[in-house]
Amino acid sequence: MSLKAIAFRNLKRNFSFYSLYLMSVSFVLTIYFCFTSFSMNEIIMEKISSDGRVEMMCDAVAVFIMAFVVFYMFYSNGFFMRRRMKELGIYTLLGYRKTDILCLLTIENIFVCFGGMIAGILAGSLLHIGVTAGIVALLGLTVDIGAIPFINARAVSPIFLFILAVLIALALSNAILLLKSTPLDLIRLEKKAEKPVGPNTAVSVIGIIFLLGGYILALDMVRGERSFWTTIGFSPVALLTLTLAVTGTILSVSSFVPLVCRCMKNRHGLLYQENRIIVIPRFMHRIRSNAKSLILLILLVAVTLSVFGATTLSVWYPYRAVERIIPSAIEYRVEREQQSEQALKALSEGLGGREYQVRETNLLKITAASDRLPDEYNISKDGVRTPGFECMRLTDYNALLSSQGKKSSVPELNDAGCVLVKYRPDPKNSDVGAVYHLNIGNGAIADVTVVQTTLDNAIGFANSVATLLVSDRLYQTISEGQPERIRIVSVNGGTARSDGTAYTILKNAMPDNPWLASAWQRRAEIVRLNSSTYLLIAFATIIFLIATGSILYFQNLSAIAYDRDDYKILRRMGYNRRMIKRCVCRQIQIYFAIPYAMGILHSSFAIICYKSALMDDVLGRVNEVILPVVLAVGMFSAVYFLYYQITKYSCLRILGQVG
Amino acid sequence: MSALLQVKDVTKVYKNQSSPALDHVSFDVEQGEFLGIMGASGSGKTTLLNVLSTIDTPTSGHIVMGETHIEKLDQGQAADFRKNNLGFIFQEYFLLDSLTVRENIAVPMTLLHKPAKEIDEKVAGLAELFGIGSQLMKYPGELSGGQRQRAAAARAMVKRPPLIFADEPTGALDSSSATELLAALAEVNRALGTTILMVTHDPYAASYADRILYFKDGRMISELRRRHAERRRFYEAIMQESACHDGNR
Repeated sequence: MSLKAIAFRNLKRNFSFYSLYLMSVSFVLTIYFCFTSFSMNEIIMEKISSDGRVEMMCDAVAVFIMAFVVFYMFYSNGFFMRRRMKELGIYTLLGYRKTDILCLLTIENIFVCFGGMIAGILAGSLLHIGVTAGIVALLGLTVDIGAIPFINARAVSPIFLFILAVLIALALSNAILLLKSTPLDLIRLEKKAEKPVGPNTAVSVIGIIFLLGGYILALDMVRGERSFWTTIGFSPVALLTLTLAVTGTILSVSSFVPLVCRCMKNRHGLLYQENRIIVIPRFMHRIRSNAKSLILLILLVAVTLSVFGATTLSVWYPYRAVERIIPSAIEYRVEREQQSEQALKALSEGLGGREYQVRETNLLKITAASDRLPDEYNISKDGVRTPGFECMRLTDYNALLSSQGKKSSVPELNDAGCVLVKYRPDPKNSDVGAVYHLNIGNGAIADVTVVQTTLDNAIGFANSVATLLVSDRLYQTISEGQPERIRIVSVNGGTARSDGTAYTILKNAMPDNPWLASAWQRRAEIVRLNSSTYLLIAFATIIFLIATGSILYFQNLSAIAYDRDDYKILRRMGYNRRMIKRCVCRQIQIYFAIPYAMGILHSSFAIICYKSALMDDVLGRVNEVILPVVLAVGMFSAVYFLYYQITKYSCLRILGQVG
Repeated sequence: MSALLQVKDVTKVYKNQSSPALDHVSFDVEQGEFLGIMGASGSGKTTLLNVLSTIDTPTSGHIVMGETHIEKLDQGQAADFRKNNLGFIFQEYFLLDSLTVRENIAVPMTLLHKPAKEIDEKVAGLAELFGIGSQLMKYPGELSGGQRQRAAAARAMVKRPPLIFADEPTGALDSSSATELLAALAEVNRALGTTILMVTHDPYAASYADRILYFKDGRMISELRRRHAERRRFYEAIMQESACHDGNR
């Protein structure tokens, strides 16, 4: 019988076994092709990328995706090779040469890879059209979806060349493995018992210390300027943190987890239970290969969750921060009286009776002296802003806040008291009690004490970043000193915040006013700028997720298939179906739970570090950080749980044939 | 002696097979008896053992142990029945490779939710009885065939089941290991009163039994009782009977 015929028959006979391989390869290639098609889609790239940023990101993400596809295909190939060692050994005993076996494996790989490629191109094209339609709808772009070809011909040749390269690499890898193995090795490799690993307490402790060290360094970022990240330098500390986390993971899993298992094994009161007595020794017995997979899976889950969580946070947080950056629906500084009047008239006409409110606020820019001047006083002093306070009358503040639909929490003020509007949250209230000597003009000084600080700014940060709320009488006194006045017009109410009509009218009326800002416009800009980034990260996340889930799936399936005879013995000994099912579930849960728990722990610290390092915290609300991260973790967990259920079902199906 | 197990008119027919694997088989197993089942390959020995041990179900007939009609048990009840009443020793040992010898022997006791202290005491006692006391921390892969089979026997005994099924327990052992195991089984049978039903094709192994039932083509064709004879005499009688059956083939 020819090798081609054997390969074809083998694929046909073991279709359910190979379909998993084919499906997972198709999955990965679908994402790869969709991504390649997307990055080569000139129509959409023209619309979402004006500065080449998206193309650059596509190139970067493509490297990751390609690396991952290669890694994944090598993993799958290795897994299937191990499963078939005995069969290959029999071929060698029957007289087949190693070159014949290599040919057989290569033919099978050609079937699987090209089958996967065809499925990947078709499904990837479909997904690409869907993704493009989604982006067009999300960003409100004017693109004719019908003009985009179903299969991007330019993307086909790269995937073909890529698969060809992978096939050659796989053939080489298989050749090396076959050359190194004797026929006896091949027969025995499949069920070769692993050398038991003796857990090392010292290594376990070092592993845990490394992990804790990594976590502490990540948390240190929260200290801001006093942290090691600033005092020593970002790159060396980042490298050290990463090294500690990765080494800690490797040592903990390869030594601490077996140590815990051994402790459980030695505590017979704990061990002698129908599930534990089977599951714990079995896990411990295969700890050598289990540890390798678990380390890989933990790092995969951690990277996936960190990247996905951080990206979700990067989109969510600025979006929510608009609430403080531009508290009114629309706001602008009056530069020319006449232009402003015309603009407001145009607005009135344009909105045609729709409800809205316009309020004008006069801020008084003054300087002050104090040994406890707040950070806000000098913010952007190197830029366009001159240091100082922008004084706002309490009555104006309350009224503006009310028109924004918020309730003021500022108490009545006397002439000696003031409220400082903070830019960043200050949980310690370090500014309360500070005395500012305000220069109110003509050489006069007025002393005010900070009685309270607030994060409820009524004016956007573009116009006032060091707002000082003072009593109406003190405001009047300062005003008499003829300080610089900043006239702010705020538009609120109706649908001004949620739609762009009012903003468009004002923009047309004041095209050259750089101070015109709109919450709606800012949010739209955030969505426009971030959606492509988010999408690309989502591609990478999906690839990582598929890889994680598939590795877990194959690992468990292989373990259960290997243990089938053991479950037959247990049935004879009196284990009923429920008990067997519970044993299987526990066995799978260990594989799923360890990477999940440690991956979440790693990524939590990574996200805290990322947030402190790269995000300007203006909201001061923990839930605004937690919510997007929980959302990302939730989405990941849902897919992870789905993989668990599929794995559990498949494993139980294998055992369904038992007794 | 009273009957521990009553087999009444049991028949087992497999699909796509013209002749039954068991054909109207009836016999009793007495309390504390060491019963041997002999016969050529395909005579129905293993089918009988599977049916009696609830691993398989008979097509017709009744199997009664105490008050329990074994053939009427559903899968869950059968598992519970095996857990509480039966012990198994197989030719292939069927030890769990990932568990140490101690853990392997302890598994049946954990199923009965016995306290850890009691389990450890019983495991240690039986391991000594079977001469594997120093091997408890080893894995099955690290033991010789004889030691593995003794570990399997200890596992079958540990919960003191009223009835033990042994399927060719010496089939994979050398003569010395086989003798040690059979002597240990006979000792357990004598000292603890455990009933043993052993399927074997080896006359030497069968000579340790109190009674032998011969099977051919799914039917019980003859019976041989030891009647307090010396083991060696009984062995010779078995050889004669076996030769007679072989001649009639």
